[in-house]
Amino acid sequence: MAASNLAVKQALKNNPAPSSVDPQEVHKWLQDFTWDFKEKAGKYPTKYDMDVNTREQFKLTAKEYARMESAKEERQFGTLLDGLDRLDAGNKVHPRWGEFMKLVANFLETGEYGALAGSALLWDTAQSPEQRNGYLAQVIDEVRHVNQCASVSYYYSKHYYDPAGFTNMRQLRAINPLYPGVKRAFGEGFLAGDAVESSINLQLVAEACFTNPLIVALTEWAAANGDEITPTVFLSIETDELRHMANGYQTIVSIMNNPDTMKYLQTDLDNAFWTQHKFLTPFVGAALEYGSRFKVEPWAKSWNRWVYEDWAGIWLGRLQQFGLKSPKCLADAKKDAVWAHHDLALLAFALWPLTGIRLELPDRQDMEWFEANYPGWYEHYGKIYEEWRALGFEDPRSGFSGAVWMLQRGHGIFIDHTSSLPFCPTLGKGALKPSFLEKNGKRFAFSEPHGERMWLQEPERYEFQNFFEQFEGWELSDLVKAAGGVRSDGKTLMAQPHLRSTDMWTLDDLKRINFTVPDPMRILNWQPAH
Amino acid sequence: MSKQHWYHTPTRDEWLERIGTLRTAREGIEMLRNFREQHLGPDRKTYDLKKEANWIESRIEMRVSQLHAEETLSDDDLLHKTIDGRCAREVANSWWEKAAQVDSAIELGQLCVAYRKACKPPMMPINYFAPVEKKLVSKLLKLRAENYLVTPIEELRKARNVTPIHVQ
Repeated sequence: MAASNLAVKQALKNNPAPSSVDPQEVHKWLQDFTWDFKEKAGKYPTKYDMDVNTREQFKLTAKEYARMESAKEERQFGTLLDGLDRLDAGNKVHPRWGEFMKLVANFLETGEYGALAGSALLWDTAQSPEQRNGYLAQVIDEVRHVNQCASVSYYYSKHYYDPAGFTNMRQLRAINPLYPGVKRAFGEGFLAGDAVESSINLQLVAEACFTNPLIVALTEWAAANGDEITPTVFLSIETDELRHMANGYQTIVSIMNNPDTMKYLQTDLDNAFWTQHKFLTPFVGAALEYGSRFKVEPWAKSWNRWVYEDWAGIWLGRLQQFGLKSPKCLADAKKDAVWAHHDLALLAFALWPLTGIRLELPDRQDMEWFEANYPGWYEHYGKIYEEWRALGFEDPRSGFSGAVWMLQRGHGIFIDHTSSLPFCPTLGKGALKPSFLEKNGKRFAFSEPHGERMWLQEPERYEFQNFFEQFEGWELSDLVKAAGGVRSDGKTLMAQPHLRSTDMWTLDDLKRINFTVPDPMRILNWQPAH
Repeated sequence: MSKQHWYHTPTRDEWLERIGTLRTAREGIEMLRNFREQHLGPDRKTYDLKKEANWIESRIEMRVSQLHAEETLSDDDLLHKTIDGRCAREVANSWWEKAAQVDSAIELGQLCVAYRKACKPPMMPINYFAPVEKKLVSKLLKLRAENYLVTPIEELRKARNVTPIHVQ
């Protein structure tokens, strides 16, 4: 042995290299990272002063984190790639549910990406090393979640009977009427504006309030409809959410020492709740109840238990000691929890060629369930669906469109300028109180006063260009083709108004509708209100 | 097939032609100032360009940056002076000093918009522009938040100069 090697061996014998380090010891070292708090300032604007001595609850180190997450990944991907493959799980999913998963997996992936950026933004804003450590762990979690959501789409695209939409859903983001709502809630809500408000949107509302109904309820409905893929992945995601909820709580704790905080916090909580609710309440409800053959608990009941009682009651109750109250808009949200998802589903059926998925009108069995759980549903929505079916809603030769049917009967479709989601003032049963405004020759539609107030208070924040403004004058089939809404044969639509493999709608069938996109804010005879 | 195309529109083409005629940074600055005044921000004069406004602004900015870089030999000037040769630190601070006198959310909002239109790169190097914008916006957020939920809608509509409309 060379003399140098002998010397190394001897040195190691005298001073053995540590084979492991106590993670909590490492965590203590983090406290020695002494940033210059006087000189250094956060990168993003905020109204709040975040305490430099804030603690975080999990005190995770990278080593502990990696060990824990690798065990989760092994279980999850092992189940997907081995167990579920052998069980042919992809083809045991009820097609109604499988179709909605094209939207759910994609929207959640977008949300996770926004959450990644949002928690990184908080890392750049907080000053306490411990608090930053908590946000950093969340950044890594969100990278994981983005990949997990993408892997749900990937798995479905390989194993599900109709991959169109799992392979390329985001291609349709320009025309899918729901995508702007996703971007508003999960994009802009999580990572723009006041950094602490972003934390409230992401951690205190979306994660602490809505991941229970979104992920836990959704996986229950998934399993009931034959989907073992989604629970395998989404429940693994949910195991990370507690850390994020704790981060949200810690954000609040970090700003409470400053007496000015209470001047701002209630406003941010109210706005964040309304922002997240406007998209999540109707979308999740519609996905569960209209994307399923086999029903579980009505969405209104799940929402009431998890959002109203658990979050607004118990979770926010913990923050009462700081003077925080439930959002004032909670009563309107409660009304939405009963009806807004039915309103959204009606618009989704009316605008089906833009959605990229296959939708199936409620049948007799569904209608009985809806009427039993939402008394009055049949008179309001059920009769419309029956009429649409009779007029040839599913038939590619019919030239029928629910959107045209609505417009011909004076049921205008507008886009809410703040939430970016469509609404119909005359057919909606949710908490609607529409208003229309004009400024500098441009007209704006709002579905309710909370959103109107947000725009009036922060007009530069809502520069959204809506679908009608963007595509006014486009013929429908040209638009769907240009947006990428056709299958590999270049003519059959990705979206379909039924689940069969026969009678698939093509671009020619869509052209038969003879529909050119109008901008209702320009063509209607608008006059100043008195 | 429609003549409309996903990425090219007659409006974009028309502006690309106009931008292509710019030969000096000075001409470009003039165009950018006018464009921002007319077509951008909540106080814009017109919404005629709809979604194209941001795209066109970015193309003017690119051309102005290029012309400015070609005409400016010193790195120091690029990093520390505004595009028209003033000390960037002094200009940025003068906006913050103006903001210190303002205690109305509406007025400060207008000032923030004016700052962005006047100083957003390439008008001012980002290393001076961004920190002052952060300070301005933090103050604006504070002023707005206190009465955000309680100011009557009618009062807000009046302050924003909007008219309620309905379908006849």
